[in-house]
Amino acid sequence: MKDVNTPILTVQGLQKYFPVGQFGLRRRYLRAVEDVSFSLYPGKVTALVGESGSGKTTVARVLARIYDPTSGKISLDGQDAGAIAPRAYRRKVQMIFQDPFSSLNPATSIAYTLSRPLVAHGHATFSNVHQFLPELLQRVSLTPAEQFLKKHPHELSGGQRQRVAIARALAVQPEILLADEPVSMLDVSIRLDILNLMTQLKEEEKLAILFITHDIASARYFAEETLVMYAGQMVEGGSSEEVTQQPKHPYTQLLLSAAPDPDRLADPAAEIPVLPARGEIPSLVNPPSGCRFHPRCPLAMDVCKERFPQRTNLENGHWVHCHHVQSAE
Amino acid sequence: MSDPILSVQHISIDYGFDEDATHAVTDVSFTLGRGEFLGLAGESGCGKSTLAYGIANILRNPANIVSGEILYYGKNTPPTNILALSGAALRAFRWNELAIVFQSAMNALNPVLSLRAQFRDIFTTHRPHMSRKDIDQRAVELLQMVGIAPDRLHSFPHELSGGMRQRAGIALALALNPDIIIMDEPTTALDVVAQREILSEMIRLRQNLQFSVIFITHDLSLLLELADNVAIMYAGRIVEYGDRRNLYTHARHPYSYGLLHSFPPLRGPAKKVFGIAGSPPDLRALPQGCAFHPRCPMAFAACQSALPILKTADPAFPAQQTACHLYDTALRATPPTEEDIAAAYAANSQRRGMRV
Repeated sequence: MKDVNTPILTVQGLQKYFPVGQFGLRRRYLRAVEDVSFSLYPGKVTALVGESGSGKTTVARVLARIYDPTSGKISLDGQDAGAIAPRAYRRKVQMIFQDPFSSLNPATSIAYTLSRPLVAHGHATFSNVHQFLPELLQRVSLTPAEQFLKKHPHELSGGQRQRVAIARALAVQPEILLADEPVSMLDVSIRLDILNLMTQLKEEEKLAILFITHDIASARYFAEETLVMYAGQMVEGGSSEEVTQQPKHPYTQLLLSAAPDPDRLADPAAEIPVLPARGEIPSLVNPPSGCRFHPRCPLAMDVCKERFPQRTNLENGHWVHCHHVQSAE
Repeated sequence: MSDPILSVQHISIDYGFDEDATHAVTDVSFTLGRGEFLGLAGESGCGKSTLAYGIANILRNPANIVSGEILYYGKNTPPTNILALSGAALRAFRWNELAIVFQSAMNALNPVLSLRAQFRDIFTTHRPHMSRKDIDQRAVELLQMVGIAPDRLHSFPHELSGGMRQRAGIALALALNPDIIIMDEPTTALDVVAQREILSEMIRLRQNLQFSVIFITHDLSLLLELADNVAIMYAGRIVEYGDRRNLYTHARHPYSYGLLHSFPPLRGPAKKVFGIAGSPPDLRALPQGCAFHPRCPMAFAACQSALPILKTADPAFPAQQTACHLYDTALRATPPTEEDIAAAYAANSQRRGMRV
């Protein structure tokens, strides 16, 4: 039995810079991720929320070892991840991509797609792999399995493809799933089915899941813990309920007020929020100094331009990086 | 209801011909009032985009409008059937009276032309007497209207962010002051903050300029905040039509109920939600009777044989129309309440092996 209170994966001070403009004499860097730290626990979902360009996908890709981190420490089961051979690492950490229309090989059947990881990771051989496939599809509720095995991705709907992608990740028998916006390309009506399926898998197999999304309502629904990222910096975190119901950082509040919420209709007096245009995520090649949110922040003070705020711990494990909250404390 | 500006009557659209035809839209009728915001919701493949393009008469082979007519009521002119227009008359109608904002602004803007050149395209075609100076001035005005700085006039689409591109698409659509704007999933590719900004912009512009909107999306939660009326489509037909408040307080069709309850709540108590089982039907092989019955948790015998027609379900709400046998007193004595539908969805998901 896995110990659910010991983190299986810990990230500390993760940084990722991408070199840009190599023609000049001076090399410049795009600072995609700046000082990110968190832990994943077995049987728990951690959501990483932010706009496009906030660096959340980069974090997932570094954890999947698609990119190497610029600096920072990743440890898996107490071992330094850099010291683990890539295949052994991926035996435990698998990724589900955003777009099921391009993450499956269109030229091969579902049976082939699913048998590759089984063989590559030594759970089966080419001669006996076929006996494992039906069970794999049943775990993601694709039945009758025999019928799906022969099909090619173009014959499946978006939701079915994403289930195949999940089955492919499960084939490795991982302990950690990195789900990069697994439902954002799907119809709204299908999304919950996939999230409910992942909840079920998490509970049955005690998977640790990193769930990346820009939809804060689904983070609240699916994840125990929510971390909010802005322009490569972590700005707020804590239990999902705390973060979504009592957001402290102005950026989290912005995300929440922007999310569609039909329940506003229940209260005839409630106004539909009107967001004044406050610009977009800044350039990460020349990021704003201090707190990167300050050019868009309605509460920005002088100190916000000077330095990034220290972490302020509130009750129940809720924390925030904001000068405004800090001075109010 | 304000006076109508567009009346769609019994439109059917096929892809292909004869027995190979796929019926993408079948017998759809609705009326759009002057200044009304109509939402058209449904899953991928339900025919909502095809319907919108049919209304604009921009469908090309193999799509083909089999029957029906679309009447446009211009100011002080007799109603014109859009589908009967062709050649110069159609060119004059498009963009002057009806403009479209396309789904992905990424592909809808010409990547090798600056915004200025794209504005010039519109004005030299539709307003040949305008001088270049006037065009530039008007273009800047339009860009400012949608919140883009005037110095962006010389930018190319790749220099703009996704949200800005979509704003530029809206500015282009507004160029000739059309009466109707069709928006085809204008915010699907954007994240929530950009989406909210653009929608706020649309609300403001609509108040100032008084155009009508047909807004297509698969995200019903958005429509409920924005639209006056909402039409829900499934497999090429409208299955429910009504005022957004009626729809929110009591979605009568089990499909509408499913769509409405397929997003987790942002506030209030956390609860288990289900979505709709299965996937949208294959339009080439639609099930007999009500096309939704294989996915419907409340389907009964009649649903498999007879096609329900769109009619008022509850006399107390005459404007809310539902195409569902559950509300036919000849087939079922008492219509289901919302709780009945909710219970059926919960039971159904339990049967499928999901924990509640």
